[in-house]
Amino acid sequence: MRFRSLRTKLAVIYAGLFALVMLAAAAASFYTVQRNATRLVQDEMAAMAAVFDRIWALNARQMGDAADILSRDFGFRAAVATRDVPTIESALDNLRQRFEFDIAFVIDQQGQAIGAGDILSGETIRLIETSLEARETPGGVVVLDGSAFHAVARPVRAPDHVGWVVFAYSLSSQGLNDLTELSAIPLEARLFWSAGDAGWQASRSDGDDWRNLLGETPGEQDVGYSLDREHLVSAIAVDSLSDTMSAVLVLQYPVAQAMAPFRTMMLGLLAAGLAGLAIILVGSWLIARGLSRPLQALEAAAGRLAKGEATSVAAPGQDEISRLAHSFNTMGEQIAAREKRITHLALHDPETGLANLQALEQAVRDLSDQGEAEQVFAIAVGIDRFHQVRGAIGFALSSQMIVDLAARLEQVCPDVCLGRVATDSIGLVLRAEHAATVEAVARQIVDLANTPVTLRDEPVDLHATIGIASLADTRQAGLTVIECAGVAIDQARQAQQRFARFDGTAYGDPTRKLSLMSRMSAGLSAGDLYLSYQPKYDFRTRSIRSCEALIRWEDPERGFIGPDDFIPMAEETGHILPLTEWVLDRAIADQVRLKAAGFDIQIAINISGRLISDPRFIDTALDRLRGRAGRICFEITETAVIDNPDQALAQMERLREAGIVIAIDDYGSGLSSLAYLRSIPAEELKIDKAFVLNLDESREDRLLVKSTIDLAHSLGLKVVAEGVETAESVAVLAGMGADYAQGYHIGRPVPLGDFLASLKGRSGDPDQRPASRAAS
Amino acid sequence: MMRLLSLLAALLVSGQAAAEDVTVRVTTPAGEPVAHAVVSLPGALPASPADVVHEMAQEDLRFDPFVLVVPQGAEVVFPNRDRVRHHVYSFARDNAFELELYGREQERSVVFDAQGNVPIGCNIHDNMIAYIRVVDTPHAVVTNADGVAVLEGVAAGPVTVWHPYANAENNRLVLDAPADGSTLDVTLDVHGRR
Repeated sequence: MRFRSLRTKLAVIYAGLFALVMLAAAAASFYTVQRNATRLVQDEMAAMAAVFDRIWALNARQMGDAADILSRDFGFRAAVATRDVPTIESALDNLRQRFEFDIAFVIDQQGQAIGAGDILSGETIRLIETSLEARETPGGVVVLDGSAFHAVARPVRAPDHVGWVVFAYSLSSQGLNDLTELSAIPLEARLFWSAGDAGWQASRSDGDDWRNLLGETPGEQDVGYSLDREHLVSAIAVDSLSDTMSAVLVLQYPVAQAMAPFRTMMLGLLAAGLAGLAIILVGSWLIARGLSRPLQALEAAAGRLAKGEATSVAAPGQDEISRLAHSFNTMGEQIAAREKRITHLALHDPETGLANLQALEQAVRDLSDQGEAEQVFAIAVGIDRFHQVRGAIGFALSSQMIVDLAARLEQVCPDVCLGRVATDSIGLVLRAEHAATVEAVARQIVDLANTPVTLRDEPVDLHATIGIASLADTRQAGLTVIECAGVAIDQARQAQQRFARFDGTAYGDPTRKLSLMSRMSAGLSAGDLYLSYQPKYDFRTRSIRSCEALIRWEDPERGFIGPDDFIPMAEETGHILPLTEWVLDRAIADQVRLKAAGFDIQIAINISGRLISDPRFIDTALDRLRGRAGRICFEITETAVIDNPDQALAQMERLREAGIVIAIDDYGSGLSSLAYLRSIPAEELKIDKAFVLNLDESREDRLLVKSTIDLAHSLGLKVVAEGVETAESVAVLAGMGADYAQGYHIGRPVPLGDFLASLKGRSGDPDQRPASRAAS
Repeated sequence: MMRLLSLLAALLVSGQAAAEDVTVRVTTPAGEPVAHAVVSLPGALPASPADVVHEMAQEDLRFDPFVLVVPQGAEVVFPNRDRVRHHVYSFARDNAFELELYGREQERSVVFDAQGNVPIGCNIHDNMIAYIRVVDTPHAVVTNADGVAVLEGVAAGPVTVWHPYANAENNRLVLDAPADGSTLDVTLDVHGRR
């Protein structure tokens, strides 16, 4: 059994056990009383049976004595011997009246009953006679004309046997009841007899009702219950005058009557039992309630504690439950304290004790819940060059610097929520009706945050940049307002401002970038990306012998997407590797087509700096370019070497050994380190178009280009001039000894078909176009 | 065995003396000898009674003998040899008599004229009982303790065996006499006194 409540459980178990004991006690009492009562009645009945036996014997003797006297009377004997019927009858009558017998008769030797009237049939007489012969002093029950009698018989001898004298009294119910009146208990008696197989018969017509009192064999029964168990029955076997008949005297006593004196006792027991049970039930319930009440209080308190509510339970007394309640209270307090500490840790910066980013974000949520999102602002104060400052003054002092700054900010904005949101920045969250208000605050902060702080009595310069963002800004940027403020700091620094409002447009949409990459991957399969080829003019052969492959993306939905819009992103997201592999495959395939059309063109491919130091890419590139020595050129910017020079140079060496031409791209626009120029195993140098575009007008550019060409030549490099847009430039570069020219003047980047067509157009007079341009 | 041999010798001797002797031996079905049985064969009584005294004595509160067989018309004396007095009677139909209290000095006799069975008792002493068998033949003998009765010089005829307690009609059996004077074995079922 499962209980949902301890109280019920205790109450049920206690009450159940007690009730069980009570029940057992009651059952035992009941059984004992019942047994004693039964035994008392049985004893009484047994005593009664004994009394009956004596009376029976007494009657038998009395009758026997009378019969003896009569049977030995000489005159009577003479009368019987001579069959003097009137004399016999008168003598019998005389004696019957004297002794109050019901019946007296003589059975003579002829088998005639004298003095019995006609109640005896010849058969009965013969039966009695036969039975009498073998007996000394015959006596017992005899049934005459359907009624039972107690009879005795004595032989009449004169001197030989001449007959029997028989005396009898009726065993009617009246006679038996006279007998039972002697008993202390109201017994009733009936006589039953059975002759042959006739079954038991009673002396009265109501004998049928008594039949169920009898056991199977009444003669063997001592004292017991009747068949219907409503009477106690004692059957006493009594003699029968006839051998073929058995007789029993049945004494019966209604059980209900026998038990009546004990019923009061039983009722008393029952009442006591019920009262006891009731007391136990109430008591058990009270005890259980006393036990379970504090437990329920504890359970409820535990529930409250689980929900994080502060709670305590009353703990009166000194028992285990009180101690448990006390322990529970202590535990609750400790949990609360710990929770407070954990919450504090979770929401505070352990270094400075200021609120942390989470706390501020919570503050933003609280504020935004209170009103319109447009009115929630975050100000981020970023300490400039914090890492350097920290490196200079140490962690402890730099933390102190932040704490001091926070204290200043609190003075200005006492009601705003303030916290350390990054290593070098403090965030403020506030609600303002207009952005202008916030900007005014920001301006105040700018002054405060750019005033030196005193650390260990030493003034330290403090410079900070402030970013402002509104909760409204976060919608498109996918950042929190505090992050937006942080981004605004970067944007301010980029703009060389002390503070800036977050510019969502400038920030772009990072999620859009990612979707752009998946779009690009799809576009590669769909053929939205293709290669355009821009020819390089060879000054020496005055022909087009090489070109640069440039990636183009014509998105069916977004239209033309410039390489600047997706290449950097591809580099950042790792998509540059499959993209470059695709370009490589495309270029090789196109080169084969060009060759088939009769044009042996070297194709240059731009390789991202990230890929150059990636051996995996180099492996796959070498695999693809096997057998194409000198036909493919990798254009690489110097920056590719800066991050990991050893690795990059080693990989480039592998390329060079495989016959891949390496060109240094955009030379002059970046760091243009001479050291790298020396170590990179390049064969070509491409001068950045920024120097070539204004070659016509700028003397300085001409000088730079001229000296660069000279420098390259002296290092054994060939020079490609990019951004050649005029015939004049071509002429100048030719004069400077440049090896190749690339630019709109030579040819715009065009798809392979157009590129092939232009090559064919040139084939007649390869020099015509540049020359004519140069001439014009 | 010796007894049987002597009995046989006696029979042989008597066989030589008389023309026709009948020996009857009465036993119970269990083989016990039946004494006091009256064995009789028909025969004519003499005209005058023989001068024989028949005695039914009372001694030690008993009748002696238990069974007495007398011919019709014989007189039986009832001497009292006890110190006490007796009141001898019989309610036999044709031979009823009553000898009221008498002592040892008083002589009493009764003549039995009718043949038949006469049970006699004492009114004072219930246990005293005897039987007088009145017969109409001179050939009637009571079996001895061995259950044997010898009838000498009898004519041929049916043998009647009577005993007061015989389990038979009228307490008797009637049988054919043996053919050549040999012993007649009679089996008679008897009961005790009722």
